[in-house]
Amino acid sequence: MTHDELRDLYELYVLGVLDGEEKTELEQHLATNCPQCAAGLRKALRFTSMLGTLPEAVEPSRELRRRVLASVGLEPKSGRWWLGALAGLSACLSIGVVVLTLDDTRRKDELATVQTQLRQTASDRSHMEEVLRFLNEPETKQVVFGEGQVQPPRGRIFVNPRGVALIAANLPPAGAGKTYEMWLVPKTGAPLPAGLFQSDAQGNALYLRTGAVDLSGTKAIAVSVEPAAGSQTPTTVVFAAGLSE
Amino acid sequence: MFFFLPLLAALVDGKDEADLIRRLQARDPNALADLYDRFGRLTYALIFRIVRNAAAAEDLVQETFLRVWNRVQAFDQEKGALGPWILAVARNRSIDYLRSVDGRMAQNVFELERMEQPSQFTDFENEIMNLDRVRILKEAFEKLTPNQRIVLELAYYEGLSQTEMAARMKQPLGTVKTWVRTALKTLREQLGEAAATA
Repeated sequence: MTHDELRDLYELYVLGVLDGEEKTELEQHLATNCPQCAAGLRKALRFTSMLGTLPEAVEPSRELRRRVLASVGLEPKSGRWWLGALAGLSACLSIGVVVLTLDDTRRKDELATVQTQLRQTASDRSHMEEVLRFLNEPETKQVVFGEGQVQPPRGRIFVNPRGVALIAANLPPAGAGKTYEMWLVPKTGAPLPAGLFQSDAQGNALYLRTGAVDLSGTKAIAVSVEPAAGSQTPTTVVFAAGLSE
Repeated sequence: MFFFLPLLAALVDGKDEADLIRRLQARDPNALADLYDRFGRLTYALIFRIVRNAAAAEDLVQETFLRVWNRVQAFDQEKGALGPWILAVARNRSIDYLRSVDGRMAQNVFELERMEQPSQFTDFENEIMNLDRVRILKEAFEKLTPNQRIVLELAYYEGLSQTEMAARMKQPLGTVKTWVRTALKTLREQLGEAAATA
């Protein structure tokens, strides 16, 4: 296939709807790191992004904004601004009395630190609840990895048709400019990227990737270390856990 | 005019996008609220069009913003285009949902994941989604033939491959391919876009 012929396929590829021989041929060509095709794909992505603006306007519920903010542990600003303003004024007056008795900005800094910690705690709790809901789904299966190794990472992978969760220990921080990347390894074909995550300073990681998983076609879940933006194919393998039939 | 309301919200203060990205990366509590106020309605409109279910659409909007919040560290502060990225994440989550509901196998996950990476959404032209371009696209879309509109909707809103479209529409694969290519070419030309080459 010539470049002129491949050109017609870029948009279909970025939409994820190219299949058959055309897809195979384009992917083989992309694997050569052809700069012309890379530029073509980016242009196709810019063009197809516009299609997302076509749907007619539909109003979400007012509650949705609160849910979105609560999902990361944030308190929303009220949509009823005048109620918020009154509440804010009242709060400011109350706080003002207290703040005037404080002697310096140190206490404000401490207050800000505590507020940040509270937000982080709420965010962690929200994430944990989401993971627990996933673990408790009746179809969820678990796989243990790293048992009996001297220097694991070790932990458990939970998987069902709607996602994959990873709970790991002894997973040292990936390093500056690096990230861990999860992969679904199919029985045939190349590994499929399943999201990026980081471990904490103690080497613990808790990661949930939601999205359809073809359990019958997946033979393993793997984790690699990649550049911060992730990779299209794994460049290293930290560990892999096989899924039993 | 109602059609443009979500876009108006998305485009207000567009010049401050770099600042918004910086604040998101710094975990500024107000940044996610600002992001939602700017793109929430546009995101909901797209997801609702795909899944056709208000409750599911709201769940997916929540998932989309959570994903953006968790991945924004990898986004380019100066050259990143938030709107196209959020819409790509929203579309992918919605198509994943449709496939799980329909019991369809996840196809082309690799391409969708790849085309959702923050690094893909850099160096877009300023105001790529400006109102003029959206109006032109809308008018051009409405001038397509019914079959051309259907195949583009099946591709974009349902994530169907050309083979799946042919089966759904009970039409020869070659005919479907012609409709898809002609439709894309027409829209591209109306937008004044060169063909997708370097």
